[in-house]
Amino acid sequence: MNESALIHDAQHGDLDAFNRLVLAYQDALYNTALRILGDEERAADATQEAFISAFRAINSFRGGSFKAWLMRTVTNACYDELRRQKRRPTTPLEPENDDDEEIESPRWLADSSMSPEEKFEVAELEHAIQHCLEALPTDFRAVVVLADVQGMDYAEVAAAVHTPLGTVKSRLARARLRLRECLQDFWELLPAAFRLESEAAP
Amino acid sequence: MTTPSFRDVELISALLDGQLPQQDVARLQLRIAADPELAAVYQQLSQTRALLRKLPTRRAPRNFTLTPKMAGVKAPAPRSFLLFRFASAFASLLLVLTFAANGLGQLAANAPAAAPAYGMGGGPMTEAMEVPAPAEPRPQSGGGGEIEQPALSAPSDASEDSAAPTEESTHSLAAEPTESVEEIPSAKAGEQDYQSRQMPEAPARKAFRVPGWLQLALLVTALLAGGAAWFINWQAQARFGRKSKK
Repeated sequence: MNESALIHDAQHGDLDAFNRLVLAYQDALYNTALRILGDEERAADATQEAFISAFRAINSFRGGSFKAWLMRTVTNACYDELRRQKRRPTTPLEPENDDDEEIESPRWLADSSMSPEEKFEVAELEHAIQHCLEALPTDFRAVVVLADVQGMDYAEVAAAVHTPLGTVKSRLARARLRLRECLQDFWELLPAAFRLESEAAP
Repeated sequence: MTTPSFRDVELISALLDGQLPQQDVARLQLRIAADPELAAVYQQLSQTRALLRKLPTRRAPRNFTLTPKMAGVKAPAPRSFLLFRFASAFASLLLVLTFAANGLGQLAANAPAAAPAYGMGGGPMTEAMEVPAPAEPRPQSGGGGEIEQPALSAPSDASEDSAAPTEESTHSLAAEPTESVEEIPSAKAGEQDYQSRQMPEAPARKAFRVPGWLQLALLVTALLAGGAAWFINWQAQARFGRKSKK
């Protein structure tokens, strides 16, 4: 995929070219929205809104990281969604079945390559992290999702959240500290594979 | 051993991400190695970071590709549509112009014939046109309004009648030219010249009119081209709509 050529064509109104970019980035945008919002339906809505906004404003893209530019549209869509959420009743974070009971291991976690135990562990981990992410202030949450979940570098994160680099560093450090404290509560509950893991000491 | 400041936490966080300047990396690593508190913070942050990166990536529940309707995009107009639209507009404009030309031509035909002024100015010369030439050549010195009415009262037919004999007499007298005879032709010539300038034949004016067949042709062209343009555009929109639904 020649990203520059597709962006150029999309800037000249080529919707097919833009849709190829959508297919390339939709998973990243959806996951970002999902981690920030904590709800599948809202994440899907925010992702769709983000792509619509991105197409309408694509002529304002002046180069640099296109992924960061898209992430900015999706974080803005998430902020809008969170503001709306404050004005409206909330819905359960977990999907429900026909009997209004939360589904422990929803179908989106289904992965034929994982054993039932592994699926359970992943579900536990995801539940714990999502719980702790939602306890963070929105600005911190967006930064840590972009840096640690999406693996973007500081410059891309700064561009995505439209914040100076120093602020990104500071927010990320604070977010990690808070997440660490929050995850301590889940530490014993987490599967052994996810406990006390660390990167090599310097 | 000191309690790590937030600045230290920031530096360790940046170190984990490889975003610390090279000169600071070695210094911080030495401090971490020497300070158990800093080492503990390093350990905790790196664990948290590793855990976050283990978060499974979900696949999008559906494709988020945009339809033309969502994007607010309209079907591009085919070239033939633009051509037919232009042809229809141009034919319509010409048709309107032919009606305008016919109307103006009719107005001009119905208007009273205006006399050429020849520098003599104004309405009184209109009366002068209706009368024959004066008996004697008169100086053509402007101010048509001042021409005496009685001298101009003879009918134009009479002047024509009198012109023929004058011509004959001119020929008969040519053999024996006298001063008086010479004066006559010149006087008559002056009179004729006056008549020819002051009393042009007033032919029956025919109103200018664009032929009806041309107007009909323009009307048919405008309608056909307009219809073709509409049909081409409708087809293009329908095709675009079907494509976007796929």
